[in-house]
Amino acid sequence: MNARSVLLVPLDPVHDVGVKLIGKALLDRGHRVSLLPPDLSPEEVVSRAMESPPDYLMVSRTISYGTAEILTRFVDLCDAAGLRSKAKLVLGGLSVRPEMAQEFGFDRGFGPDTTTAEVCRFVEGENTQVEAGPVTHLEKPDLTQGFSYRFLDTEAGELCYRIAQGLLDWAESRTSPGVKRAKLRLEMQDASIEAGGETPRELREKYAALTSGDIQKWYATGQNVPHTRPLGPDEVAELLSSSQAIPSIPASQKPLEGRNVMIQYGTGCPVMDSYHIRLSLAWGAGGAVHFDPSWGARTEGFLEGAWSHQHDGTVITLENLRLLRKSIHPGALWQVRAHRGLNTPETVVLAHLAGADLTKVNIVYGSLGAGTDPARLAVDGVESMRLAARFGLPFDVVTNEELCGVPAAKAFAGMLAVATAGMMLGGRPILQPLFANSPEAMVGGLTEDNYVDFNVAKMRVLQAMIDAPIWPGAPVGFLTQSQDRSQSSTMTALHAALALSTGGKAVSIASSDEAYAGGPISAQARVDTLKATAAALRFWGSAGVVPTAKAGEIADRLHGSILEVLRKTAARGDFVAALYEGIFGDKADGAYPGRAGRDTVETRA
Amino acid sequence: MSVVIGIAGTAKNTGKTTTLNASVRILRRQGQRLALTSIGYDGEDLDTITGLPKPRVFVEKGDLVATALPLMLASRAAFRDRQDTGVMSALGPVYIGIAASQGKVVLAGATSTEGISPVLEAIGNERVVFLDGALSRLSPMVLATHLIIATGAARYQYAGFVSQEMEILSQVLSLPVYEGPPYDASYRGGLYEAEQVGGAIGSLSADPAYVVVNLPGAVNPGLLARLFSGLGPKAGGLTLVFSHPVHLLLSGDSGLWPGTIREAERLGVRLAVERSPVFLGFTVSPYVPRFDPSTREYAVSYVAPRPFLDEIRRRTEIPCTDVILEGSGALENWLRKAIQAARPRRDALAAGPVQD
Repeated sequence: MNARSVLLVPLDPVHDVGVKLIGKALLDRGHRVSLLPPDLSPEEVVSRAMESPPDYLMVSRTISYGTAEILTRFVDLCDAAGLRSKAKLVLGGLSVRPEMAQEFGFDRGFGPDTTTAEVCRFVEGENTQVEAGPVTHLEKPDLTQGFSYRFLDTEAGELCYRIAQGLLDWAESRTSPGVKRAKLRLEMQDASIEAGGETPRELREKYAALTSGDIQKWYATGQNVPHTRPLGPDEVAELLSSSQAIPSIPASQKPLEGRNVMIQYGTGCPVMDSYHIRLSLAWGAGGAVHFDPSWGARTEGFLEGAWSHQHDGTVITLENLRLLRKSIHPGALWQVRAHRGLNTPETVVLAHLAGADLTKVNIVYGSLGAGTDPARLAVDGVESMRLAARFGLPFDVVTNEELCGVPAAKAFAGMLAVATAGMMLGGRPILQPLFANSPEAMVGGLTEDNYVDFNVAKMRVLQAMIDAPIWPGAPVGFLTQSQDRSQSSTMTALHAALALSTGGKAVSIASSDEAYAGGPISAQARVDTLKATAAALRFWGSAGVVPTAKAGEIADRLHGSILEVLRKTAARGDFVAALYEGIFGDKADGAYPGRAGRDTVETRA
Repeated sequence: MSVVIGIAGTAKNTGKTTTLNASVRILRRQGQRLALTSIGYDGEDLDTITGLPKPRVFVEKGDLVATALPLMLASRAAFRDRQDTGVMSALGPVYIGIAASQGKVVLAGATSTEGISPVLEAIGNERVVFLDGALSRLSPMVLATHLIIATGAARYQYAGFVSQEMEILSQVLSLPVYEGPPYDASYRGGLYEAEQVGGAIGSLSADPAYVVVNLPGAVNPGLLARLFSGLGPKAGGLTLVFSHPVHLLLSGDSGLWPGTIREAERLGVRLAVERSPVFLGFTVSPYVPRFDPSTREYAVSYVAPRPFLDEIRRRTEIPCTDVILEGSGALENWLRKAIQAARPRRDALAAGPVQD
């Protein structure tokens, strides 16, 4: 390596810390470094530089009123003096961006996320330009690797296996339109491959006969589902041509590397989703979770083709999912949720066909908090887990019924029973406790002093009961965020850091405006929370969080209560009946058995 | 001989891109083959400092563009015959390419005189080249054969200051191109101390009337005033050759130039330049971004366009126009003049051999 001469110029009255740090790093690497005093005029700097033109002239400057004029005059003076034939002009500062450096006429700009090593590499001739290319920080993890799925609490294990076996036996003799469509969808896929991409008419008609509501109307008349329109050819072309490549994440976002921080998207428009996903991955997210419209859970069947939806939630179709797959870096995790409605098994099939890495199934939340008939979702949920196991898709089992008011003990008992059924079917479930200021926490004073104890207690209990992966969500921080984006980002970040520092394998976060968006989620809001989460992880590092003694008390109570719910369910001998009867949450808790899909369960022929 | 039209601004937001777009439309209508590049960053959706919307740059099929490769790849237009110019910008290697379809493009070319030369060489002589400026940068405009200045309310909201600055600029741009015997002395480009130059001139000859001194690089008018004062009547007959008029506008108070030029005439000192562009005229923009301290954001505002332009015109005879207010008629005349009377300016630059 040739030693280079570098002239460091704090063209600023006071801010010369940056150049001093860079100067030290360059000196350590054997370069010749001179540091000018701060607050010289551009003319004085050029005169000094002309005495012995350096290889690199590095200017540090805060950007404020009139700065552009000073910097461009400096660049012009260097240019007129002939300095640029030898010296590369570099601009650095906390508000410098590459575009700004280019506009001002510098050869290179280094902004807030620059490391001294990066500057050294640049000086040593390595092209450190930000270029489109595969990111290096993303390696697709298996969130379930290394877990034995063994119950550490033997009583809980025995109870869960008994309950789960009962559920599987019950479902064995039953079917539903959702289960039939999932099977048909696989048939259609095979047939369309054989037919060169076209779905045979008779299969399509058979499928249409299993749909309902607006979806059925679309198959019959071609009339669009309200608030949807087909994607235009330009939009499809844009998605097809979109690159999966994303730049390396900024240095300040490095704490997110390998932490599997998942963002949730579902703007309604796949093109916009594509931007949001790529933006989030570029800011350090480890993956993305697909959100579909709520009406999609209450209507039988899916549309065909690529669609845009005017409101929240991006319509699930095979084409939409396949287009979105193209936006997602191969090293990122992609989850397509299938947990709460009438299309659960079919969603698992589509997720598999589109190349998703994960799905989501939970019979209890979908039945008691999301409006689907318990019997229907039990049949569909079992089939979904069977399909997920067949396709090798791990799935999380969510407990969002806590948001309705269901106590954590009941939600966790349901989650453990369903996860056990998934394990018995050969699947790899991931436990998803909710990190939130839930109604139970508010009423019971569990979060009166802090938001740490209750969430730590949840983690401790689950970790004490079973050796299984835990992925707090979804997203963390529910009912702690406000309309204020700073407050919202902070709450999200603290919950995410808590989740990851207490053993979470992954965490789902909201955007800073997600809870109170009042409209589409903005791209900036995504960056807000990703930056805040990185900052929180950087702040704690491996120091961890110490809860108060109350966490232990809550955990003990929670553990006991979970066992109680499991005992009651096992004693009832019928998981589905337990759902209807309120063992996993009753009306007093705010849980209501759903009605969508009622009376659609049939006895298997 | 290629025509390189430089569009330079006196400040940020003075309408360079608007002038560029209007000029491009005129020449495109006339069937001219065009090449577009920038010494900065232009055509972006939002201003890098104010965050306000900016006019965009669109290319048509057949236009040649020189810009950083990542921006060329990100453009909606497709580009064929891409070629690396070997020049690196802050946003990546500068490539030239011919638009195979129309679309928006962000221009970010070479930012230095050193870097622009190979880009112009790569573009060749077959096209009218637009060299778009950046903020108030002037130095790389030494490579332009013709110059349009964009100015307006973002520079001065008082019309009198705008016209005054253009008068000064015009005077400096009107300095003659030197043609004569070889230089007796040439100093390294840069900034000079009056005493250093004066002493050196004094030592060259007892009679400075026969001395031709080359002073490349930025020259401050204050320096010349001190030089004249030091030499006194001995300065008579001295010839000072500067590299380019724009280098005379980079340092010090350019408002001193008219007085300095008058003083040189009085003393019998000849001031000349090695090369100079044709100053076609200036465009005036009434746009002013205003910073609102309560929201900490910039907002768009305008001075009254017609009175502003009329008042400027009343004070100067230099051709000027507001292309939004008046359309592109004046600009069309200027460009016609540039195309028709393109002089082999760059060939006439060969001054005498340099002595050091």
